[in-house]
Amino acid sequence: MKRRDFIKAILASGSELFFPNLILPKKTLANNKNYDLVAVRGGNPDAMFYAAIKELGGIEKYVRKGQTVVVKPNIGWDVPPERAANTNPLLVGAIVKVCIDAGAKKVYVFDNTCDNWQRAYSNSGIERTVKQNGGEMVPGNFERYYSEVEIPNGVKLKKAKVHELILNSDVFINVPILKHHSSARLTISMKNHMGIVWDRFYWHRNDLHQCIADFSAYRKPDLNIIDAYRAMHRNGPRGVSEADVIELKALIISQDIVAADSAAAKFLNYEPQEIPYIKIAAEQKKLGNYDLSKLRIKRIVL
Amino acid sequence: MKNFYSKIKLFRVIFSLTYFLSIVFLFLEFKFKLAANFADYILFFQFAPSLIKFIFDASLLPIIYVLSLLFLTLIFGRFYCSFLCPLGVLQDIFIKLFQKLKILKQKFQSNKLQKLQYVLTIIIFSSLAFNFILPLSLFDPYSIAGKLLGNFLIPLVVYINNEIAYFINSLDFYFISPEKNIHFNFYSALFSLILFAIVFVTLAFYGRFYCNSICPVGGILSFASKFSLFKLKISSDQCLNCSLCQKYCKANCIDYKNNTIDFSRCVLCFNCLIYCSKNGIKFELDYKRNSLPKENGVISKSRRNFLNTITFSAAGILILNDDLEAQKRNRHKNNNLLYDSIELNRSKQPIIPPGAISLQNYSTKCVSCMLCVASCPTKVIVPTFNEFGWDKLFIPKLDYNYAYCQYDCVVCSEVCPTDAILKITIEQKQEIQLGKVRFKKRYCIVHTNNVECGACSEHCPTKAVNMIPYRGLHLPAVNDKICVGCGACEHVCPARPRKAIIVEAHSIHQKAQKPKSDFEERTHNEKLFPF
Repeated sequence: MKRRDFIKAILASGSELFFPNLILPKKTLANNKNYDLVAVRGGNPDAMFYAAIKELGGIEKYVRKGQTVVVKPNIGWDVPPERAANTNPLLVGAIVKVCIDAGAKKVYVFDNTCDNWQRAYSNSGIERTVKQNGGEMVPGNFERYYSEVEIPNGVKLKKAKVHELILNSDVFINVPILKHHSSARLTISMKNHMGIVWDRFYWHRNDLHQCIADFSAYRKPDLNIIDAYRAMHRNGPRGVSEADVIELKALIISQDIVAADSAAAKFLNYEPQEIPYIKIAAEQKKLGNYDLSKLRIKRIVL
Repeated sequence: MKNFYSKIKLFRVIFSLTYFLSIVFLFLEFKFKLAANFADYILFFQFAPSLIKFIFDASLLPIIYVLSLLFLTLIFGRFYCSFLCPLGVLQDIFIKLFQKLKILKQKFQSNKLQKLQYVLTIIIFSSLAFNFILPLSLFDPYSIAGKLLGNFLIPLVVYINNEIAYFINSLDFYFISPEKNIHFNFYSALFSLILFAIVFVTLAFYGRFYCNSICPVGGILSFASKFSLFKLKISSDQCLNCSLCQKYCKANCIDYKNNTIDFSRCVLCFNCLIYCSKNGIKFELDYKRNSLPKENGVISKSRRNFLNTITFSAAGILILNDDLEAQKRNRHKNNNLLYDSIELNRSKQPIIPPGAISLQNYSTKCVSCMLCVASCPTKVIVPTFNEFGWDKLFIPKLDYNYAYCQYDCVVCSEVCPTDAILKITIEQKQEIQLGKVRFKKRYCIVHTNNVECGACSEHCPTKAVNMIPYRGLHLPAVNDKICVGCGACEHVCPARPRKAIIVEAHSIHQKAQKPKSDFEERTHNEKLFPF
């Protein structure tokens, strides 16, 4: 990035942050907390999350005392955090921490991993940070945990077996990592749902993109927190080496899963319409907005 | 003196149980994955695995171990059978159980089958010289114990663990989690069951019958213990003919009426020393070996036996050798046949684990103890029956229908006690090609159903399977030079009934090239917020 762009961007985003009281009356300040999407750049994964959730009005808005929370990161692969194939462990730990601090009864973390689940849980570093912060790691690779549900208005995907934590928990926080994907183009929030169902190969057999969009209508996450601290720009979703990873130092939070994915896609130079499942989810299923110009976006630089 | 003997016995019980349980622990250790760290140290003391390393690799430590074991046997007798042999200790546990249930018939048995055992032993060990390990792997006590643990105990324990885990999880506790069970092979289990039945039914009637009539390790040690310096002796002046020693003898080798002990069958359990109502039995230097006139006859008899044994086993080896030659010829024939229908049969050739290097190395050293099957984190290693051929029964293979081999894992190579799977580092493993990927477009979902899929490419750790544009979609394209043959693509391919992408096994592992990075570059957006 050129220095001039950097300064411009800082000024553009920083002005709102630093001078809200000067420019805007108090009443609209309260409205400021109703952003559709918050994007942060330039900090550590946990610091960016703390800044972003503060702008959204605090985690208390989403997690109330005594509620159960399920956090679904991407823990698909048996690789270390530097390879950016799994969600950043610091971010997952920070999310668990704020939920516990907000009085959540229990915070569960799981994924139906691709590689061996124990190796993925531990080598991704997520198991450690979750346990340190008082969360519970739950296995996701056994069919017994899954029960069949109907997918409303599913075009290709009418039924799916979903992990009981998704069905039973009060709050569902989706924490994907931004990655290139060999067939879905990109894997972000919606694609991350493939880790909460049992038979994801049914999706592969029956039009992957339509199934991803279909399933997103089933249970929308209460929050989508996209980890783009490190992003995999090629050879995804597993990656071959650290050469596939760029350090973006970015994070996006939104309740709108389509908007979150669209914004994240732009970091890797993809237009949202280019990615079939985002297009289907927005146009056919009306699950959210991919036209980011219509959204109230908060941009923060740390 | 008795006090001293009971201390020795106590030591034996504690030592053997500890050692036995540590072997069981190796097999059952699915939770913390520690087996890889300890397997070498624990299994080093197993006779057959160390002997295999001795013969095929000429490794120094196993040579020292095997020789010192034989040396110690020449001094004290077959302590190995009571202290270190897992099948022996398992039998001892069952003897205890049988005694409680009062179904044990312990009385002196004459030594009719010992000759057979020696013939078997010679055949089994000399067949190693022909790179033919099957006889040993069928009858080696460690391997039998491993098969029993692997085929029955592990599936049972994992099943119970899983039921408990599911129950506890349903109560919102997650400190126990379910485990993937090993792939059950009916024939391997059946064989273990039959052997189990033979060993433990005969155990009730003849004591340690297996150890003294079939076991090849027992055969060697029994022969050595004939010449051992120390022996158990009944001193006729002290003996009351109370028969207690015979009643508690595990090997049924005490003939109290004639005041004799067949020491070649004695497994040194020390029971007789403790249960003797007087001090009638002593463990002492056998210095009077040739002084008794009676024994001369015994020696000439045993010499005849020895000659007989040699003759029989030589005949056995010749027959075996003929058999092997025939098999080789047949194999050659089969190979020719194979080439005609290569498309169908190639994929049937089983895949051998990384570190096995070649089918030749793997199949001449594997005693099919199933430790790799038990400790594989993904359980992709499964027991077989005759998939490798009738001369390579039960040796494990990689089954990509069941799971796939993890790119950063070398557990099987770390646990293998015989070096059938050689020790390799993760870096070495990542350059080993177990087989080559083959893509069959006609079965691929992208081609047949006109939808995106890409599951194979998604899971490929080296991107040997990459997606290329095809009719507006993306079709797999394979680069088998960088393929490691891990089977991830084959495992996940959702095409049914035939998978569109499979791994074809190499008989000799090849070197995989390092993954390239010349794919289409699509860099990130330089703007701080591109929206």
